[in-house]
Amino acid sequence: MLLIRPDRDDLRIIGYYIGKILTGVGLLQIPPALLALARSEWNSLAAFVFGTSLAIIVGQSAELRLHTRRPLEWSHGMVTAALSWLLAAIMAAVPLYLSGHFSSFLDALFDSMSGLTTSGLSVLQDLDHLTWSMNLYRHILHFAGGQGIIIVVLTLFAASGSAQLGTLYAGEGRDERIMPNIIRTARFIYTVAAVYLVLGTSALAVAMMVAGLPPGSALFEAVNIFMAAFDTGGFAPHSTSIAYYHSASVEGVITILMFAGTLSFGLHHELWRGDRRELFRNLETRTLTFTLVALTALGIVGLGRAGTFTEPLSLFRKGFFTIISAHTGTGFAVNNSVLYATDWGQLAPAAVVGAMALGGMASSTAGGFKAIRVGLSMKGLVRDIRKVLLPENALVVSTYHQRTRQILRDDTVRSATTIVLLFLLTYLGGAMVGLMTTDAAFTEALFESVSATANVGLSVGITSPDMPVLLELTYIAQMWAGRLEFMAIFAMVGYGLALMRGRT
Amino acid sequence: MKGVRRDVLLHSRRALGRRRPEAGNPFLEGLVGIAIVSAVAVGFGIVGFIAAALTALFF
Repeated sequence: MLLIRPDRDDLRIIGYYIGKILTGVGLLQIPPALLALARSEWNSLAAFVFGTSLAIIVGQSAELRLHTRRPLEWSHGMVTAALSWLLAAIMAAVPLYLSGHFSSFLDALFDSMSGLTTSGLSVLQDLDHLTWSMNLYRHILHFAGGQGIIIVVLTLFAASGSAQLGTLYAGEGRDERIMPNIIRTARFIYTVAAVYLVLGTSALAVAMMVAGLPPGSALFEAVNIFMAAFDTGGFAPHSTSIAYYHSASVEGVITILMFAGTLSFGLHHELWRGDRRELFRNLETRTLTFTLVALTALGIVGLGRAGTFTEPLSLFRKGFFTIISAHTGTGFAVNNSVLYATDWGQLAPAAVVGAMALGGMASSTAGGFKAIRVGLSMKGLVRDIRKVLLPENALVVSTYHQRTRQILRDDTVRSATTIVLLFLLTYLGGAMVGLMTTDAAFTEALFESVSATANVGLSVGITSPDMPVLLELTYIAQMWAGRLEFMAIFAMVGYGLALMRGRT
Repeated sequence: MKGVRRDVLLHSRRALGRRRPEAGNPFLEGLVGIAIVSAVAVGFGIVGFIAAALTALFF
C-alpha cells in the first residue's frame, strides 16, 4: 500500500487546529468557575482556574507557534478530529482530577471522555457530595460533546463560513449538512438547542419543584438534567440518577427531551421549516419507530415474565423509561444498576442491550449503529432478495426518503453495513476484555461493552472506581471510537503509519 | 425570476428534490416542531403503557 509521508506543514496544520480546540476546552471551564466563585466553592474554583489556564496556555501556544494559512484537507480534518477528542478529554480531565473525587487521573479521564462523548458512565466517587460547580462542569461536557466540540469551538472562532470545517464536521461523526455551509448548520443546531434549553429547563424545574425540590436546587438540577437528556448523555447530579426524584412528571419531561435529542438535526430542521410530512416519510423515523415499539414491547414483556414488576404503572415507568433511555443513547437509570443482572430476567436486559446497540438517528447526539444504517442495511437486503427472485435482466431500483427521495446505491449500503460490522466487533471485543479482566457473566460484560461503545451509560455495575485498568482503558477507547464512528480513528492510525513508513 | 419559464422552474425544483420554503413565522414553526416531537414521544408512551397493561394482564 502506497503511503505518502506527511511533511512538517501537514503536522503544523493539525497542531494549529488542535490548539484552537484546546483553547475552547479551557473556555468551557469558565461558567463553572464563575459558579464556584459565586458559591464560595474555593477548591473547585482553584481546579477550574488551573484547568482553564493550562488548556488556554497549551492551546494558544500551539496556535501561535503553528499558525498557518494552508487549507485544511480531508486527511488533516480526520486526524485533527480524532486527536482533538482524545486531547480534549485529557485536558478536560484536569479539573475533575483536582476535585478530589477520583482516585487517579485515569479515572478522571474516564469521566471526561464519558462526558464529552455523551456516554454517561462514571467512576466518580461520592457524587452526592460533589460541588455544584463541578457538577455543572460535568454536564457542560455533555453539552459541548453532544453539539460537537470541534464545531462548537471552531464556529465560535471563525468569522465567516469556511468550507474547510466540513471535513472536521464529518470527522466528528456528523455527515448531514442541513445548511449550505457548516457555520450556518452549527448556528441552526445552537438555535434548536437554545429553544429546547429554555422550554425543557423550565418544564423540568417546575416538575422538580412539584416533586419537592426547593426552587434554587430545582433550577440548577433542571439545567444539568436538561443538558444530559437533550444531548443524550446520562450524567445526573445524584448517584441514584433519575430514581432520586421519584417523580412521574420529571420522568415524562425527560422522556420528551431524550426523544428530541435522538432525532437528527436534519429532521429538526425540516420540522422547524414546517415540513411535517418528513416525520412520516423519513427512513430513519420509520426504522426508529419500528425498533422502539418492538423493543419496548419486548422489554416490558420480559419484565412481566421475570415477575420484577407486576403493576402496569411500575412496568411502564421502569420498562418504558429504561428502553427509551437505552435507545436514545442517554443512559438515565430509574433503578439500581445491579438489578438489570439480578432481577430483570433474561429477555428485558436483552431488549435493553438491543436498544443500546441500535441507538438513535445519525447526526443527532445519540450513539450506536444509528437508525439510518439499520434502515439502509435492511433496504439493501430486501433489494438483494428481490434481485434473486426477479428475472436476471430485471432492473431493481430501491429508493428511500431522507429529506429528499434518494436512490439506494451499492456504496451507500456497503458503507452502512461496514460501520454496523465495526460496531458489532467493538461490542464483542469490549465484552471479551470484560470477561478476561472481571468475573462478570457474558451478558453483563456485553451489556457494559455495548453501553460504552454506543455512548449510552447504563451499567450493570462493572464500571466502578475499582475496575481493572485494562478494562477502563478499553472502555475509554470504545467511547472515543463509538463517538467518532471509527473512520477518523482509522485515518489517524493510517497517518501514524505514513509518518513512520511512508514515502516522501 | 422574470423571463424564466414556470415549467422550467418547477422542473428544476423537482430535480433538486426541494420544496418551496414555508413563508410562516420561523419561531412559531419551531414551537410547532417541538410540539410535534413532544406529541410523538407521548404517543410512544401510550404504546408503552398499553404494552405494560397487557403484560400485567397476561403474565
